[in-house]
Amino acid sequence: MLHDESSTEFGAISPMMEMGAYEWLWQQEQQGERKVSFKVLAELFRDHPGHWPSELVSTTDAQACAEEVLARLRKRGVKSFSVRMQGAGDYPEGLKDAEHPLQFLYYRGDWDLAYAPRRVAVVGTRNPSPEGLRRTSKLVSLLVKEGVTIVSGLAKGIDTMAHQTAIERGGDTIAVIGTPIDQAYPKENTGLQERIARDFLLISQVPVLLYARRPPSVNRLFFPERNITMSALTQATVIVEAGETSGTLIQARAAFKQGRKLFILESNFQNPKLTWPRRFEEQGAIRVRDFDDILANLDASAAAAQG
Amino acid sequence: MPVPPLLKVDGSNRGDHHYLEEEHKCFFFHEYTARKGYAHSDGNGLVINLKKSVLLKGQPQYKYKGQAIATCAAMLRAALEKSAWVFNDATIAPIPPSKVSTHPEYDDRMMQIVAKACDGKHADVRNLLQQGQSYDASHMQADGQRKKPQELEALYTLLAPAPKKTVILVDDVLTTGAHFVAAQSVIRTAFPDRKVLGIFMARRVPTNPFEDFDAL
Repeated sequence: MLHDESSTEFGAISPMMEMGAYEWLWQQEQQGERKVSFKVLAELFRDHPGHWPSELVSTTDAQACAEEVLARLRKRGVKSFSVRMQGAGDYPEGLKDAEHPLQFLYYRGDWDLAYAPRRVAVVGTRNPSPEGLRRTSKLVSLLVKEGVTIVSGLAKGIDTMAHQTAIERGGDTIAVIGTPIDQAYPKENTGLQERIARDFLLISQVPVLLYARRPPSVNRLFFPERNITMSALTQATVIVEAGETSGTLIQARAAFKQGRKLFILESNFQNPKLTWPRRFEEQGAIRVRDFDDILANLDASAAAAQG
Repeated sequence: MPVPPLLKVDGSNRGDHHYLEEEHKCFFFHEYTARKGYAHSDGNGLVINLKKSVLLKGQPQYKYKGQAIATCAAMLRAALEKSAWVFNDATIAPIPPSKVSTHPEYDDRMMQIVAKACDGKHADVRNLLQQGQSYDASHMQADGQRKKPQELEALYTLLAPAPKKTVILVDDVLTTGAHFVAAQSVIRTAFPDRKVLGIFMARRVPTNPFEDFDAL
């Protein structure tokens, strides 16, 4: 008896082919009339329910892109990585709360951390004040003591301090980066990124091939996108310090849209140059005068979710 | 939890499994990271419950093992049903556990999973390989002491009757791939025309590449 390939393969999905198809879709830059984006791709898959990326791309194209990604990652010293796909196992439900849920992402490290019982994003400006850094360190130390996994974006400033403190205090941390899985930004965080990939969890939704051939000015657009993922991956976001135009505010808006808690440290309200703290407070953000306010609210929401 | 689709071991992940080559056809449902023994993700929770020692029988936590066996059987059944010819044309067999059947820690969880998955299908489901002696399970051993495929091959004997055209070997966690490679080799030596496939409940993702490096 002869069997065609599909009937011998248990309906199995090849992560490599999905990766290649996903990368190919991004490579097109255009999807019909529109520039390809997470929004456009999420809509593409919404319009093709139950379809995998590989079903929308030719096998030859997907294979070629996949091989190119593998060659690139190998060359850049990424020995082991894996992927998460909507529709396959171990894709956290929370990620579907994002306005444009990710079809596909790359990770390195311990995926179990994405399911840690308490996950809080600690984020803020790339150019923090000394007090901002001190507050980050104090806040993260306290959260780690309570067994909270610290999620941040591995940017300069508050993010870096959040990851570093979590590690120093023996806690767990997840970095959701705005660069592909093989690249660090800023460069001086390369060591920290490797440490997180090895001992904790590093996540990237950024397509490897498109990023490699576009200029930094365009690639910058991936940074705010990962803020949305960071929020979706956590139960709450804490803004330590942020300016009026900070990318952190994108995460604040995403947190509201996704039904996540948003905490804003009191010091932001005391800064007369800032209008966003009050604006977000009116929308339901929680003002943090005492770090215990965060834990009390976090547990209240966890209890509500269970009951 | 919806039943997850089966995933392929392919060029993107084969490097995590030292003994697997392109010729080895292996599949998995979940990914498993053993880093700190956490079990929050579906994959980790499933594997940790599945591996609970049979010596815990009678204790309250043992029920999770039964649930994990049922979950695995349902996943496997759903996947096999997508290639329903296997119920007629394949021999479906567990990779032998580390302990022989007379050992107090003998655990037939994989046989239970395979039997449940094929329940009512009249498939050729059975132990195809017998193991000569017990050894410490891979996950209990220091990495350096793990058995190599050639050592495992020497422990395996084939049980009659001859397998059907395709052999599907089922195991819980794909680590280095040594057991699968050994089992395939024993089968193909005796029956060169048989196709051998591996289906694993989870593949182990090495979180620290140096860990694995030491193992080899």
